Amino acid sequence: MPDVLDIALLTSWIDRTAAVLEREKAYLTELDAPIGDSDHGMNMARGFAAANAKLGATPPGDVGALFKTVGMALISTVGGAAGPLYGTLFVQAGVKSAGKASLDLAGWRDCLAAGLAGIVQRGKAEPGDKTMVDALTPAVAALDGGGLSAALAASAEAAEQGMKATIPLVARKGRASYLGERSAGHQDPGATSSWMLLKALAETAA
Amino acid sequence: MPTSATPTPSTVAPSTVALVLVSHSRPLAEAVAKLARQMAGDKLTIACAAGIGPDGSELGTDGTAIAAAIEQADNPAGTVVLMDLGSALISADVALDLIDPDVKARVTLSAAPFVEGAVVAAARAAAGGNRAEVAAEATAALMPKSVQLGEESAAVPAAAPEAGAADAVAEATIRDPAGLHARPAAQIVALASTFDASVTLADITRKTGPASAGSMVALAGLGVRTNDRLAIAARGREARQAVAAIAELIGGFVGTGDAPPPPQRALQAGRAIPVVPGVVMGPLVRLQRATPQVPTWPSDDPPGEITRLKRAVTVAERSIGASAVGNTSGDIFVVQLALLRDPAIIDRAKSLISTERHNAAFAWQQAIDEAAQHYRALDDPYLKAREADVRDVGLVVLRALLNTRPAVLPSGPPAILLVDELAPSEAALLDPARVLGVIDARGGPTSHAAIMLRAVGIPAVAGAAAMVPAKGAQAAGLDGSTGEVWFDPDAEQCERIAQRHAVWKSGQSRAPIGGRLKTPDGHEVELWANVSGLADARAARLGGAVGIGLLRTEMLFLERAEAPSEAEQVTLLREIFEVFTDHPIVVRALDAGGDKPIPYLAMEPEPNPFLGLRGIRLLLARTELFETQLRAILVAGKDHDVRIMLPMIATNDELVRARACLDRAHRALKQAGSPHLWPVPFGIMIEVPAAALVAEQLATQCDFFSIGTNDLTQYVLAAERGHPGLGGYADTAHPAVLRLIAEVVEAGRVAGRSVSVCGESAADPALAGLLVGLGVTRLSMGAASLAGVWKALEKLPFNALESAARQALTAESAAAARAALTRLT
Repeated sequence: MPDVLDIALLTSWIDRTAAVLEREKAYLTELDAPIGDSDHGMNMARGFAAANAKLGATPPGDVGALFKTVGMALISTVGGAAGPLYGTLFVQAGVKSAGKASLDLAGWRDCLAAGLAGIVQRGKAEPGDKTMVDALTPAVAALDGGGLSAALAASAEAAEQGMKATIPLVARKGRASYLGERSAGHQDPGATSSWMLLKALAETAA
Repeated sequence: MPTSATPTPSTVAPSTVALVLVSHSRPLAEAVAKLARQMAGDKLTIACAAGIGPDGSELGTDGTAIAAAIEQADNPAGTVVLMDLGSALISADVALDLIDPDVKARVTLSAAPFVEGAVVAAARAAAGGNRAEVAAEATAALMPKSVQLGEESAAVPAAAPEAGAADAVAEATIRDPAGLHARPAAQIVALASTFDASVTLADITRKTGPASAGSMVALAGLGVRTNDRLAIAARGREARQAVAAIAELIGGFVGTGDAPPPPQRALQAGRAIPVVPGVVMGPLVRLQRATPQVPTWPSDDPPGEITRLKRAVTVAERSIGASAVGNTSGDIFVVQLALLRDPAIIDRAKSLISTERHNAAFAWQQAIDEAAQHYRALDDPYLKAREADVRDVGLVVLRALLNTRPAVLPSGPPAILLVDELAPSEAALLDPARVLGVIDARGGPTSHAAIMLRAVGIPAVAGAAAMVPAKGAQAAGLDGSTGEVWFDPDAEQCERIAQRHAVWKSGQSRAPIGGRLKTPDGHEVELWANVSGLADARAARLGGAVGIGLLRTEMLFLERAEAPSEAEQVTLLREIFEVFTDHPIVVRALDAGGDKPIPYLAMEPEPNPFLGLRGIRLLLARTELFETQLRAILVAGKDHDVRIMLPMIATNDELVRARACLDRAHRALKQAGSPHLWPVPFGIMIEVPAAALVAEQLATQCDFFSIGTNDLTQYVLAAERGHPGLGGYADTAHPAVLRLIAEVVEAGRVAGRSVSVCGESAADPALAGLLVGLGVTRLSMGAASLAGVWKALEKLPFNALESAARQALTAESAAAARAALTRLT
């Protein structure tokens, strides 16, 4: 059980995430089909594969550089709204962690909180709008101390709860909002990929 | 870095705005670029950032590619970015964070529809438009499509009939403590209609709008409160002028005296809402209204119904316009006229006629109901109260459509009027000599009817529904300052009311008897009245004014489609003159200008209207208009003691030319054999510092002076009165202004010309004493101020006033000058 998130661990997190998203892209696309444009799984898999490849090609010198590389890769390769939004999350996290060799729990919490704030600012979404914000907001709140591994597990679990709570919601942002009431009853794909990301981190650091 | 950015490799005119097209689809962006290029040729830089994946063949947007496209397109004139949808917006937003901040400062992300926006933006950019203009044009690009498809008439009241911003934009802040209430809104609507442009307003602070500046109803929907920032946008040939003029108008709203809703006092049980102070008692009469019965039959002739409706609206305009002329509270009628022309109402009614086949009356009633609901739903109590104005306007048109007569007051002795929601159009008809007081079952202190009752001094209470006995009462009493109401009072109550009435009357009748007061040491001062209409004139007469020191004639000209005819002016002037039969009346020629524009004069908007074509300058530029007015005054003035006064005189030459106009008017009447007043005293306003300084020269060319201290003060101190940032800077008590007044008084004395003051300083008890001390013997003011000024002056000996004035002339500041007088009291 690691005490901190260092570059090696974070790099393997991205690698794991890329694998998870590749495996789950059909599932994400299935979630996206009724309320979106059926591209979320494909887009996310493509984006994280590109991010993973970038990290492999030019290993970053610090956590900030790592996050920034991932963010830029997502911005330029995902294609859908998830690209600039997750890209913003990582770029903002990179700003918070610039020059750091590793992150302790508080450091990670700062990064994720900054990333979430960036997403909220960029996407103008609030909790309850049926978006990734609904998974990320409780995930940040759950990072409130204890051991790193346990906290990350709790954070992933909170994200899962938030994700499931999007099912009855009516979408107010993104393409799903075009459906209005009909968007209720479906789990939000963005919240789902957010959970997958955090779950992969918890598993990597377990 | 993906390869999806494809700026056009063409020569770029140095100052041409570039476009960046952001789309999920590479082929879509390229096709749109081609369409746009048809409008703009090759001179324009159009870069595409579209698609994703190694060759951009997949659907999606790439923030880094957008950033690259913007940087490649960048030039000193800047870049407008158009996006298709969804992630395109977010990616473009990300791109702004990735580019050089200097470049970012030259980029506008446009909310325009992608295809339409790109095409018109390209055309505008190629034509040399700047970045704001290109962006505005793009944003408004949906409008032609909406119009083509007939969606325009489907606009609901709160929405702007036209989409978005336009050729010119500006911001202004609302300073009026009441927010953007009905009368300023009506002024905006009136001003906007004078430009060849479609104008919208949005509330930046509240994030509401845009709403059409052509619609009062739509403007009300913005919910503007004080200190809100407004965005003004206009489209069309005169967009720039319209935006500038409206921004200036808005900047000048600094509160209108009666506008801020007085805090509603908690009502005591058994009391009504106090509206206009005064204690009165008398027989009770009810306002009898013929309620028009609105037929429900469908019409098989929609065009005919629309014509009927238009005709009825014209009739209503005329009747409201006529009330406006006879009234101080004229701008209330401006509100009503604006509502009458409000597209949110009239277009809605027309569309109900054409689509639902309603008859004109039914359609109009429904449109009025909807607009009234709209006002009722607002949370601003002052705007909420405008529901009554909407309904009143509705009624006036319905009466015209259905040929029903307006409410009539039963004949008989002076009485107390019981009414259920007095309408402004009804309040205008009330004669203070016949109506002792008003008990309104509904209504409130901020209704326009209440403002009008206040202006003519009819004691009133409102919200008395709970007190009105089911069985008809014969007599009633009311106390307009406490809200007490008595129906069929018993002997004991009658005695109490009579006592209070006596106390109230004695407080009132300290008002000048005959308007001539003598200071304790025997110096005589005359109190005259400033009048803008018939109701004003009556109030001034009742208040005991010696004469009308300033009869403003602007109301005859405002809010009309064309200039009033000579005959029309004669009729309206005569009504007012008759109130002051055998008393002197000073009529001021039309004082209009850029600050008080008159639509049919097609005045060019001016950047600085107070220093532009206004007052006598405008009259001499439109001598036909001027001479028509002069003839009307001479004809109406026959058998009256009428004098003519010119506004804004600054030079001798103006006076000479104006006199030539007067002579021509006289000769024309003589040739036509029309009986008229001749000769006529011809005087001038002294309100330009230049006139004050050469008063002794001007005195040789005219018969009297009247000092307009409002403008004189502004011009001397180069400061607007009531400017929010300048506090009381423009104070007439400033020694510089007082010295000019003293010079004018001296010039008048030497030449034997009377000198009066008709600015607001004459109505200010603290300043009136200084003016008298400077040698002014005539003060002209609103009827409401007569009693207060009388009270302030009657106890002060003239020699003390004179010495206070002498000190004031050499005081170091306005405050010190005022203090010289305060020491006396």
